[in-house]
Order: sequence, then C-alpha cells, then structure tokens
Amino acid sequence: LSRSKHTVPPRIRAVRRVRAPEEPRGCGDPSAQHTLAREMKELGLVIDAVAGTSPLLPHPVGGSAPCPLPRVRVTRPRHGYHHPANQADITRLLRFFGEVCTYGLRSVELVQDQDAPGQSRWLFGRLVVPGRILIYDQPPSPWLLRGKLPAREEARLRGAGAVVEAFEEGLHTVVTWPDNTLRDFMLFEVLMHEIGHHILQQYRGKRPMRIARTRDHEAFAENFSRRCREIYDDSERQTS
Amino acid sequence: VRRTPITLVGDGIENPGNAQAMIHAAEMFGGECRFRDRSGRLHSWQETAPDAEAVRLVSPGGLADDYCPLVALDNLNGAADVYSFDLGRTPRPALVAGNERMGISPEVQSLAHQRVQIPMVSRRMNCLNVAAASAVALYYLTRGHPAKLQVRSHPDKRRPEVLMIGATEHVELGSAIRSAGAFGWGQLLIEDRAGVWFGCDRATCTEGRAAARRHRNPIHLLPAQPDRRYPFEEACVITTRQVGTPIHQTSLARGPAQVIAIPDESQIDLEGEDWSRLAKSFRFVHLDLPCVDFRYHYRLIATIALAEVARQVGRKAPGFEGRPRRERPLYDRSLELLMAEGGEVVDLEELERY
Repeated sequence: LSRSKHTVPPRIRAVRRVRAPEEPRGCGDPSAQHTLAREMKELGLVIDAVAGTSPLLPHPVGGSAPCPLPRVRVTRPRHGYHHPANQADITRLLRFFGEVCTYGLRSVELVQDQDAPGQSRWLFGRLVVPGRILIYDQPPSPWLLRGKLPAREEARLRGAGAVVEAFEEGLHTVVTWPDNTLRDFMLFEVLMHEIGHHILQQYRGKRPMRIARTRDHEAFAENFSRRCREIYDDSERQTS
Repeated sequence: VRRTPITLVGDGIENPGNAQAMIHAAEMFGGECRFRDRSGRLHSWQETAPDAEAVRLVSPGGLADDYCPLVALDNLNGAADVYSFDLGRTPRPALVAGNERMGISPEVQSLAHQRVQIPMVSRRMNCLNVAAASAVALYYLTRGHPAKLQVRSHPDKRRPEVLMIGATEHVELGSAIRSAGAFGWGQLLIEDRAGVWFGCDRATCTEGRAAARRHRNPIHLLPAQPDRRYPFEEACVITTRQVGTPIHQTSLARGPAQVIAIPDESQIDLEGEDWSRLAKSFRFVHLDLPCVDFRYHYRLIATIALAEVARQVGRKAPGFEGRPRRERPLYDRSLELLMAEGGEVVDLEELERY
C-alpha cells in the first residue's frame, strides 16, 4: 500500500520537520524522487539512484548531524534555591530522546517560582500549550514540609529515590534527596512528564486547546515518563 | 447656544492655510484665535501670504494666566468624547489644537485642565485636518447641550450616503474627503462642478489628493452628474443659510436609502437647485452656528455635518469585538501538601502549666 503525505507516522514526520522546519510538506517525499527518476529515465539518462549520492536527488533529511533542540532558557534561581537539573542535563536528555520528543517544543525554561505563602501545593513544572515547558527552582535537600504528605505523593517521592520521614505525629515531613536523585526526579518525573503532555497535544492537534480529559492526559504523561526512565536506565546499563 | 465664546489656540501650527482656516473657524463661533509659535514660522507665513489676516500670539504662561479651563483637543489617553463633553458656564474657556503632525506639545498638555477627542471610526485614518477638527470641537462645546455617541450592534446599516456638491477649492474638498474617510465612510459621491477633483491639472490634483490623505484613505470616490436623477428615499441638504430643520433634531442615520447632500454655499444658490432629482423627498437641514456672517470654508461645514451624522450613526459597543480569547491549557507537575491544621492538640497536664 502506498502511504500518503498526510499519514506519515509521527516518528518519521517529527525527524523531518525538526531538521527542516522551513521545508514544504512534500519535501523528502519518495514519490518526488520516483517521478524525477522516471522522467530522467524517459530522457535516456542513467543516474545513481541512491539518495544523497547524486546531486540531482535531494539529500535525505537529517543525516548524522545532531538535531536542533528547542531553546533552553535559564533564569537565576531565588536566594536559597537552585535548579537541580541544569541546562547541560536537559540538553543531554533531549538529545537522547531525539526529535520525537522535541518536535513542536518551543522552549524549556528554568524559572523562579512565584512565592505564594499558604499555597497547598509545591510546583515543580508546567507545560504552557503550545510547547513551552517551565521548570521551577527548588530548595536544596532536605525539604522540611508542613503537614503530612498524601500516601500517593509519598509513594511517588519514594519511587524517585527520596527518603520521606514524618515527624511530630505528622505535623512535619522531611524529604531527603540522596546523591543525584533530585536531579533525576526533575528530569524524568517533571521534564519528561511535561513532554508527555506536550506529545499528546502535539500529535493529536496543534490548536492550543485541551484535546483529552485531564485524567487521561495525566495518565498518558505518567506512563510516558516512566517508560522514558526505563529506556534511559537500560541504555545507561548497557553503556556501563 | 452658549453665550461665552471659546478662544481657539493653535499650538505650533505649521501650515498658513490651516492657520487662516482656524481663524475663520473661531470667528464662525464668535471667538478669537491665537497661536503659539513653537519654531518661528510666523515670519514665513507673512512672507507666503502677505494679505492674510494678522496672527495673534500667545505664550504658555499667558495661556495659563488668561484662560480657564484650558481644553486640549487631541486623541490623548483619557480624553473625553467631544460629543458628550459639557464645558459648563465658565468665563474664559480656551480650546487648544496641536500641530498637524506632532499634536499638542507636552508643555501645553501639562497646562490643560481637560482633554477631549473626536471619536474616529476608521483604523487607517485616525485624524482630521486641524482646522476642521477645531470647528467640530467648537461646534459641540459651544452648543452647550451634550449629545451622546450612539451605540449600535450594526452601525454600518445606518450609515447614509453622502454627496458633496460644487466645492470650488481642491484643498477644501480634499479635507472634507479626509474627514469622511476618518468618520468611516467607504464611498462618497462627488459632484465636481468646478472641475477641481476629476480631470484637473497635475498640481491641483496633487494638492487635493494630499489634503485627502489618499495614500492611506481607502475611500471610494464616485463622480456624480448635476443632471442625473437618483433613486434615494430621502435627501437631506445641509445648509447654514436656508431655514430648515435643526441638524440635531433630524434623523441622519436612516441607512443607504438616505443621502446627505453637502453643497458649497459660497457658490451654489440653494433656491435655484432642483433637489427633487436626488430623492423622492428632500428637506433642508440647518446647521445652527452662533454667527450668521462668517467666512465660508467648505471643509469646516462639511466636517461638522459629517461629525453629527457619524455621531448619530454611532459605533459598536466596546468589547463587542468578537469571541473572547480562549485560555491556553496548563499542565502542572506539583506536590500536593496536607497543610497542618490551625490549632494544636494540648493535653490537660500541659494546660495546667499555663
């Protein structure tokens, strides 16, 4: 079966569009190469039909050059806070997962959280549709939290490698992040989670509107970030 | 009609033609006109037009001392709508109109007690000729009866056709066309009896088009013939000399079936014209001015008439620009906290220690 221009799988389309965002929709389409080759054959010209080896045929999109990344902006953190995952960590992760994740992503910004005393939640990251991810600065480990964490949140932090201890009969909670666990938490549980939201928005429709129920959106992003972490860990093990 | 005349002040006017028209506009409403010479152009005016009327100067200090309230006519932030602005009964009011390009200087702006503006409809043409704007502002400030700019859901359905008849000077006609464009008309009928617009020589053509700001005024001009009959339902002939219905008591927003004829009364004898050729019925609409004997400028009369028609036609309600913008979705990654309750649990032994 022939594949139309409009049904190119996201994996192929993302690579082509990220590497050549200004090219028209049909650029790199094999049917154009076939048409050109047929016309030349009718004229009696014999060409080397391997794409990229003949000057008449367009180069295959991409090649071995590194793919362009979205802009990574860094804002100085607040006094006493820091960005656990820096620009180099984010760039390394985006390069690892490639164009499928970065297609349509405009920027990843390390920003300051607004001080809002009395707020009932602690903000790590945010996706502003379309394609803008904000990663907020965090205090260094250990974190002293007022009140007791819900069981679901506690399990999430423990799963990311944190040590969660409740003091004074649950009036205070201390969260300790050993080694690089806080950095990895920000990379996978926050950045890749937001990229999961972005992927669902990007590949289902580019209009800045909600394309799935919030519950489904969160479930997709959660699965996506968990799967990304597994792939990354497998790769690290093989490398070592 | 208000009894105390309003002094018109031109702040840094560059064009001597505009200055003369402003003097005549002030005379039309029984006041005087003064100028603030910002860049020493007074001598060049006297050289270019030696027969022109003497220009009286005023300094910013004199403005502050002699006049109260000082009303700035410019599209500044917070400026009130001139139609509904009530000046009240004050002894020595003054209206300040600014330079053709730069508007009123910051120095004079700081002296002004009030700010008014003439509401414009066009997005590309947002200003009038300075003399014409002064005449419109003087007309509404002198009337003493604040009128309201109408608010309609479809104002363009109420906009009548306009026919300009017999203007004898190309700059006057050009300025009137500019006013029509600024007040939102998309097309205009021109009966060019003096041949100052269609088929005139190059210099006249250039000056007229410049006065009409044709480079950014997209109005469509249709030539009309004096002997042609038109199928309009009603024709309203604007006049300052003929007895007729007062303009503010006449409905001038009856849509495309109505035509507003604005003749140049310095040349046209209204009695001798066959007005029935324009529509099934016609009537004279009187533009009431405080002075009967004044120097006639077509652009001033036409712009005042067009301003009143534009006021009656109205505009859309603010905020009726379309659907509100949809908020962009946000997806947060956060930690839900259970906040500590407001009080603490105290044992009886602890309580006894207090």
